[in-house]
Amino acid sequence: MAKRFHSLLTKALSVMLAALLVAMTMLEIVQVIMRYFAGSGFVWTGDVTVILMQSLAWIGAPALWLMRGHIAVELISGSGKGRASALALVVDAGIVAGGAALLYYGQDALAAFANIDIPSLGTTGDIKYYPMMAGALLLVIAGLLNLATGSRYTSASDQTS
Amino acid sequence: MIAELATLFGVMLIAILTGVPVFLSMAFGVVVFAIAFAPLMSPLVVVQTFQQGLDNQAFTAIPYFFLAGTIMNVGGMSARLLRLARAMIAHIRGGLSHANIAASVVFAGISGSAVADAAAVGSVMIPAMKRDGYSPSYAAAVTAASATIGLVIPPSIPMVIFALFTGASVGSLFLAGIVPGLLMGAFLLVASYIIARRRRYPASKWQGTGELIAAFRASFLALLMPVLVIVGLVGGFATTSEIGAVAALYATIVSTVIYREANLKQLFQGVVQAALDAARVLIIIGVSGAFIWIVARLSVANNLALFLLDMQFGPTTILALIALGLIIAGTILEPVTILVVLVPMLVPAALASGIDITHLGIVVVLSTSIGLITPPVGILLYITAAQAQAPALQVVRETMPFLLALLVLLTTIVLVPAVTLWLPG
Repeated sequence: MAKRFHSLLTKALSVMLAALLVAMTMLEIVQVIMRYFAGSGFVWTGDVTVILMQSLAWIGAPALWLMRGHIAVELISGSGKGRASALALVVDAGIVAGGAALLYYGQDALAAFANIDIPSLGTTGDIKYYPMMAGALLLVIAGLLNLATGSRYTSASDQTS
Repeated sequence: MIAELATLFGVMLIAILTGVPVFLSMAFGVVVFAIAFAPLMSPLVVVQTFQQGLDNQAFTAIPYFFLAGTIMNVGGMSARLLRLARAMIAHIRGGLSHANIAASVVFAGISGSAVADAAAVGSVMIPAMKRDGYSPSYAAAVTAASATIGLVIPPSIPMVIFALFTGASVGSLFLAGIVPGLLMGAFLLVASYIIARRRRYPASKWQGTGELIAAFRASFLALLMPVLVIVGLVGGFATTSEIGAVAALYATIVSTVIYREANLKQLFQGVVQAALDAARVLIIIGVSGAFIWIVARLSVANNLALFLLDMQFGPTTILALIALGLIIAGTILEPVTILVVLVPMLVPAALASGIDITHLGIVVVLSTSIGLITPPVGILLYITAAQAQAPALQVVRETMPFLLALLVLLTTIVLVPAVTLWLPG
């Protein structure tokens, strides 16, 4: 059951990431077209692409967590099954605690920015914190799923630099 | 200040070396700092700085350049570029080794990522080199060393990150990276030729000028992409983000409509891969917002600048020290971490001593790219060793001549700013 949910969530997050990236790119291209052919672009494009990018980062983080795909130094994770399992256990527990703390203290940030307007979007500043809050929640779920499924570190040779 | 910094960086480094993902190690360092030195940094400030780390429209350029490079790759560009590299240079003794380097040079112009270069070039060239009698460890070593060029020849994602964190011009950095990038290729080719002569590696048959022209025509549209990016940026036609998005659109059109080598499924997989690659980097940048807040609060950069000015070091000495420090850091940390954590602290000192920001950017990116092939944590060594099924230690040994060549080039670039600055100038 946990493995199935692990796999489903990984796929769902991957599709969401692809959609976010495509949406960002299309918005940016429309902005260029509008500027060159209509004289000026939309005032909200900048803020929307930033929020989409933040969503890409914060939703990408749990997706990569489920895949064990984050950038990491492989001195321990690549050196023996026992140590890799222990490391996986520690970091999964760490991400559950960290994500929960971020969710808890993030409420203060939401409240603090709920009264600050973003004129270009016609809304308030707390909207920029929602991607991080969603990411924190998903990181907690990803950590718990990894713990439940016993997901270990494998080679992270697909890391990016 | 020393105790605060020791706590922040000590916790982060211990976590990184234990194998904890970099973004979590950084966050862990920040949290321990916030607890140890309360009330300097409240939990609300920690949350705010994590969010503000990414609250900048200029950072949107990073996913766009990842997308452009990935789509070019899934669109069959790598095969075309490898054909061109072989047609150009494979007839010289040690031909496939040279072709591997030449392929990395041309591939660097479309990807901006060293790992993408190593994966794309290595998947084709390493098996071909093994078939031709090269040792697997040598094939892996030459692929790893030449993939470092990907960070220096534009478009380069580390250069975009450097510019965003320091206020340097992306266009100038891209222009300035062309000559050092080509020189990296030339230095590696010299090393490859000397090794080939000593070991009597074979030469491939010259395929004729006709094949060279045909290969060039086949890859022309891929080669045009870096030209469009640089012209767009230097000409001031659009912002870095907009150019990145247009490059991604160009890559999609070339791959799907003109060459018709990428179907919808491949395109979707490419978009997912690009999104994941971008997320890996962006989450580190997000968390680095807290690092930058702490470093600014403690006036680390100003104090470092004052210290170096007090020591009365000249700009060349300071630049050499920065390069040396980054190479040492690069033996453990990967480029993005170095660029977002260490570089912002070094820049004020470098600028105060009179170092040109563009020159500094190229030295920083070249130094961090060398770190990708230095043990114990040279990610390119492990990727290519896995591709070649060679022991990592042998690959490290085979990489040494190439590492030496790159260090000689780095020294030249530090000592002679004109190598970097004459093109943007």
